[in-house]
Amino acid sequence: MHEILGIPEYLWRPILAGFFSGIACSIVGVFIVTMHLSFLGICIAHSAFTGALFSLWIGWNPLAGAILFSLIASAIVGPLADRGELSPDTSTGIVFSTMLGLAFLFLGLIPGSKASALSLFWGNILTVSRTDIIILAGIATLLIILFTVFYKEIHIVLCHRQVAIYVGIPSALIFYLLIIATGLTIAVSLQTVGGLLIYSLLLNPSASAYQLTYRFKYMLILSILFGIISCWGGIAISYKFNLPTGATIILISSFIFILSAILSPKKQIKRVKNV
Amino acid sequence: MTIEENSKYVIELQNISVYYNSHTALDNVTLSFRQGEFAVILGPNGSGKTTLLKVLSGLCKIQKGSVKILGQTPSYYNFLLRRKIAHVAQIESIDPRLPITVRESVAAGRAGICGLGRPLTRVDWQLVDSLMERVGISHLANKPIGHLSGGERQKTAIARALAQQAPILLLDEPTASIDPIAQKDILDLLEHKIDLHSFTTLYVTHEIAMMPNRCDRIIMLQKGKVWADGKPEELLLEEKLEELYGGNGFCCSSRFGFHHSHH
Repeated sequence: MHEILGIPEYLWRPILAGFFSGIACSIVGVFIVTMHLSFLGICIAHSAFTGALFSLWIGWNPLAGAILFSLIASAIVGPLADRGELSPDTSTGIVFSTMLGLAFLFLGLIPGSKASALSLFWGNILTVSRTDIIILAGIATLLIILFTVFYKEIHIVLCHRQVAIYVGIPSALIFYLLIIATGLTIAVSLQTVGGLLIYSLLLNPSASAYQLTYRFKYMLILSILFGIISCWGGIAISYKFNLPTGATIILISSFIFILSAILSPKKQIKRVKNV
Repeated sequence: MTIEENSKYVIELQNISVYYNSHTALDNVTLSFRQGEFAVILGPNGSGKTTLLKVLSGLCKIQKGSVKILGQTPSYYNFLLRRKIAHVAQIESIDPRLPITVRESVAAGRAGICGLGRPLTRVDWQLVDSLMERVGISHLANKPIGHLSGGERQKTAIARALAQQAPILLLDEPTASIDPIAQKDILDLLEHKIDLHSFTTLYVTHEIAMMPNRCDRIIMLQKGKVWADGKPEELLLEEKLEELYGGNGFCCSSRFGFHHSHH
């Protein structure tokens, strides 16, 4: 078997996909966790999944439908969560359930074998294509550039939304940009991690980092680190013990979260505040 | 500092009305403020003071009338105009786990005017540090903002607003949670900065005890209407204040020569 740096050649694609997926999901995860928008993340993840099923039904590339539907969901729930005209949970819940209904409808409409559709539930990082890796690398790079260039604006919008508005930061623009980035990240990571599991990769690394630091910069770095460790650890364990890769990635990220929660300095703060 | 009679109006409100469902928050309010003017807005709770400031920041939709600030119409999306308006709002509860320190929170005041995508310069950080020192929160610089007491957060908000160096300063009960000794110090600082930079200032309070030491004008609001508008010596009279507050008793400051009134 041909090897590069002692790793079988066929494992390099999943390793690269895990690396870029880990970076992208962890960065948008920081947005979701800091702004307490977890349900919005679930909603967009399921919309991307629905879009991919729609594509399979009409014979498109699943990525195209995933991007289209996640952007549609972002366009609907973004303003609702932003302006608060309706309870964000209620409006997101309605979009979420509608998307889920559509997902099962498209699943039923797909002619012949449903194997390719069901694989979107779990994803398969081992069969990721060269194009998928390039797209994942593109979105990860885009997010790194976005968060580096607009670091100060994003930091204030995420942690101090009201202040961001008062001091003249275009907070609505930054917020929508981040929602769109979330939609795109979810859509392009769908085949790697799967529609059901992607949410954990979005949430767990950033929630773990959130437990460990009060510094936004460190939170971003830790989140990316945890995302990559989860992906690489998951690939290594699934390869070694012949287990489903998506599941092991998620379980590792959950394990990191449990460890972070145990070691969290914020745990004490919460306790003191509750006394 | 005296306001030149011929100095231009920087804030103009024409027949403003704001309704929250059936409640009238502001009722046909017409006011204008000249450049460098220092006005105190007085009134009991629910008289429309905070709504008035929100209208000026473009964060509250008006149902009637028009608003012009520096010749522009404020709105939620007019963030460029908001860079010229520093707003110290009433403190709200925040998540104590948020990853933002006190120094970063004060520096937010520079974030808008620095421009999109441009990091703060050394001069910006020096201003942030000197203001933190001046309001007495330097020792809290690296503390998460969510761990501060109400008074400390109010000082942070004041430092942030002063860091913005905006020509218009809106202060909504800025010293409400600050202890009396620090309160005097903060008021002195605010007045010094207002004089130094000729900020047009609207200072909202419902307690006479929290009034600044001096101001050019007093506007009294009651039930969303302008109830009185004039010079402090004309309006800061015990009978006027009793009438404004509905005779329910109010706190008077000895520096205005009033006695406490209890009914």
